[in-house]
Amino acid sequence: MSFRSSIRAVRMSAALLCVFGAGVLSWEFVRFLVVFPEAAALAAVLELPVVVIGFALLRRLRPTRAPALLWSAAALVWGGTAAAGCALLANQGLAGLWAKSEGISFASDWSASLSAPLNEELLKLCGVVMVGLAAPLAINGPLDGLVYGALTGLGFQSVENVTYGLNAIVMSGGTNPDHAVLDSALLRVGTAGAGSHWTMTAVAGAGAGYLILHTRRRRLIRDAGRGGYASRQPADAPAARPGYGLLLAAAACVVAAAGMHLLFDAPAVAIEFKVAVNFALVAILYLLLSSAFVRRARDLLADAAAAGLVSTTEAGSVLSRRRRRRELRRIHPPAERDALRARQQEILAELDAEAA
Amino acid sequence: MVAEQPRLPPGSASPRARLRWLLIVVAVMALLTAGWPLLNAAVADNQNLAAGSIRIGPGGRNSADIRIGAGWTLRPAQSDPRQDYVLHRGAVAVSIGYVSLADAEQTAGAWSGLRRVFRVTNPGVRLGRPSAVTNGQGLPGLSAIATGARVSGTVTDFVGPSGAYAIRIVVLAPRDAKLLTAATSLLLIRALRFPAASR
Repeated sequence: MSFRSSIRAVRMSAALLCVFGAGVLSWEFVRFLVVFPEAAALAAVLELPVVVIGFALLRRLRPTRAPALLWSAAALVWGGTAAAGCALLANQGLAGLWAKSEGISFASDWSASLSAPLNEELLKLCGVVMVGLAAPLAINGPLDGLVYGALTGLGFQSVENVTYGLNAIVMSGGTNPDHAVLDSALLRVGTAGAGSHWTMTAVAGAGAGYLILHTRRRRLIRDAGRGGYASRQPADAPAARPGYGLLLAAAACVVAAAGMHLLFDAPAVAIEFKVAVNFALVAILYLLLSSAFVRRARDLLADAAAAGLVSTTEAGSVLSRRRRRRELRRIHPPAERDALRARQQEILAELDAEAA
Repeated sequence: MVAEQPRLPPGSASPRARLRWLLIVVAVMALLTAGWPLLNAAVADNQNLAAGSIRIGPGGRNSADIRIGAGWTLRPAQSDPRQDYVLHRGAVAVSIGYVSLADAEQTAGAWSGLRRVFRVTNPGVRLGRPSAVTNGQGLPGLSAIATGARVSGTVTDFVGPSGAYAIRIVVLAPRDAKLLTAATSLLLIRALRFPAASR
């Protein structure tokens, strides 16, 4: 099988899973559109600003340049369709098992916090892995994984908020559907939004990034062993091994994400505390990863400048969005501006892979 | 003519490795999405209930008790003591639901809200005109006949003494068991008690 056909198989499978998830959600909630059309529309409209603003902000998280628009949108759509739809079925199944085995009082308190971390985190994580498989240049390391994970989580969170709004209509007896939807949105977006799914999947996504990095490094070492690299090493040099550090980091991120989810759904813990913990954890991870990425990118640029591969002007401006724009504004002929833009993107693409 | 090779990062997955990962992802998705529901379907959703009282709601003043007789089974997978009990006895299926009401305006609209929610939860089943009923404590409620293509029964709504919640009792059975549903509905209405009203 060729590279292209394997990519096509991944993309088609992802599209089918998204269609399946959207179908499940439609089947489950379409009756609200018939009986409560205004409230259902309100529930969707209230999430729109969250999606638009969240999408723009999360893409800005990536230092030097935003992730590809197409794959950012793909991650968002996966979260809101494939992951959300499949989670609905998976959670219903597991919650039923908790109720049958441990009793309805236990299930009432704990089934959400014991079911969702396992089902939802894995289903969302699958989306980040799918982006990595469908677009090999999209995820080069944990920082890329974090951003795509956050986008996947945002998609999931937005659709889940709509479904919570619709369920709130039933729980309030259909007496004031608009009020129920508004109250639910205020709680889900206003109070819980900053520490919800986008934070958990960002952490899990960083794990997917570590996993991708581990598999690439392992393949490089294996290929080097078969080809030129090993033969160029001294005879007594120790054999290169991929190690398990990246794999451990990947596992730690996924476990941490599940733990964040468990805390988020746990009963008898103040929502403000849960939101603060989740937000702080993702912020710390992001700051560590992004500062390390920028440091490595600066070092690589300095080396490239010393070797004459990039000019000192390019080295000084290419990492900053603002400085790149300023450089472009200085050039008036469109053809030259396009050439400079292409050059900037070429350097950034090299850095993305190397600095990850 | 040679096709242009796509750009790949160093160490990128081979086509075989990519397909292997795709299979892993699809397997995980299928296992979670189909595995839990199948396992859940394989385990019986029946729990015999002893005769006695069941409480629904968050507890305290804003809750209600229903005394049930022998022979009832609970569907644990569909029940939550705070929100909803699903019970069965023979051909009769009963749902006892708890509804939060925010204010007096919502209390006044409880019945019209119920009609619309019922269309969502029970598509194809129509509700007739409501008539007044009273529970065992003499508190007023509304009840209506529900008729569908294959089922019929009653739907009853009681607003709790605080006005902050309502209890909805839906009794459904095959159409040829109308007497049974009417008798069950009457029994449950009489068995419904609001602890706050007893004090």
